[in-house]
Amino acid sequence: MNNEFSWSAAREARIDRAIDRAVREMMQVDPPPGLRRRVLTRLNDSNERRSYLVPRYAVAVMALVVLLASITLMRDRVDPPTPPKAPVMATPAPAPTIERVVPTEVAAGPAARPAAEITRERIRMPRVTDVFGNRRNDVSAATIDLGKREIVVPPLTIIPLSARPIVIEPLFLPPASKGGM
Amino acid sequence: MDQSTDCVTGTEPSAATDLDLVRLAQAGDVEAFGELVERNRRAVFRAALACVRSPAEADDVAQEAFVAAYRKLGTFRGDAQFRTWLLSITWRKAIDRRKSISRWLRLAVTPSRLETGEDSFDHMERVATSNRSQEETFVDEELQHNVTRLIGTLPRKLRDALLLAGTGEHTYEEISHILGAPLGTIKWRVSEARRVLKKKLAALGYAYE
Repeated sequence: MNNEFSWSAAREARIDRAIDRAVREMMQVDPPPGLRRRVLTRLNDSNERRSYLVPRYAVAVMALVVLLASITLMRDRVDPPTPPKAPVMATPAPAPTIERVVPTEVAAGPAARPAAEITRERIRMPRVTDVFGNRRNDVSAATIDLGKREIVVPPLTIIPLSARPIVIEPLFLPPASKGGM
Repeated sequence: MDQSTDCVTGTEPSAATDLDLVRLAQAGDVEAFGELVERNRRAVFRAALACVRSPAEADDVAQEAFVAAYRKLGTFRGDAQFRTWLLSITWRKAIDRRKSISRWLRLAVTPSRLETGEDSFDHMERVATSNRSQEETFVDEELQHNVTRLIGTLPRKLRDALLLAGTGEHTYEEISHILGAPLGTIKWRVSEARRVLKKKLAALGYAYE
């Protein structure tokens, strides 16, 4: 029992020594020589650099102030983007009809539209209940090109069915063999 | 004059106290600050080393800390010891370095052996006891290697306290000030670090219980 205790204590002491030694070897390292000289050199360098860095900092601060001011001003003027290609929506009430809007766009083409898609002016979005206008009497697809050309519908001719005689071929049955089935 | 400081740095004792030198440095005397660097270089370097665990990086951190201290000298009023104040700056710089992205990237690109502790120390600069017999060294080599490796796996709070206490440069009061934790907490962390290490060693077969 006593032997076991001393053996255990010896092992623990050995581990303690190993920990102490490991920490000591990790930490008890001397700094490389010349630290004082390097520090003083850095101090002198940084002092020299500071002397010409001050105006540079001032310029940087000024630029930052201008940037922040412009961002603040821009934020007040930023509008929501215009709805893409929605002339019906963009036209103020009353709700436009297809005949009025679509042919104009087709004739003008995309190049004739205003260059800027996003306007800086605030657009009041009209409350449109009938999005496509009054199209109760229109045929939507056919009326797009209505102003440019007419749709020519050929006259309807009815071809009468011709009566063909029904010919029935004579049925040929081979002779039945004995014991058939 | 702080005699212990002179013993630590090994420089020729001068009549001026740290506070005298600080006053001179505050007045623009760079050489006086150089003397402060000389007096505290080892404590600063080892504090940085405890944090970053690489001598090269610790040297960088020490330089940065001294430069930062020189810039902040105007704010030092002498309420605390200059050395403690300087060590606090050093620790903050070291923590910044430890957290820096560039360091992580560098370690990722060139996998360091920090965790194994193999490259943490320049063997030529070791102050390890040199009077150990070769036989002893070989017998304990494996255990030593495992302890060093396991120190790297300790939680940071425990590891920092353990390593700072192991520098031989810092008192528990100084460590308490550096880490911003009560003295009792620091002592507990050191003790806990040792307990965890022993537990991990036991798991590796180095039973002590």
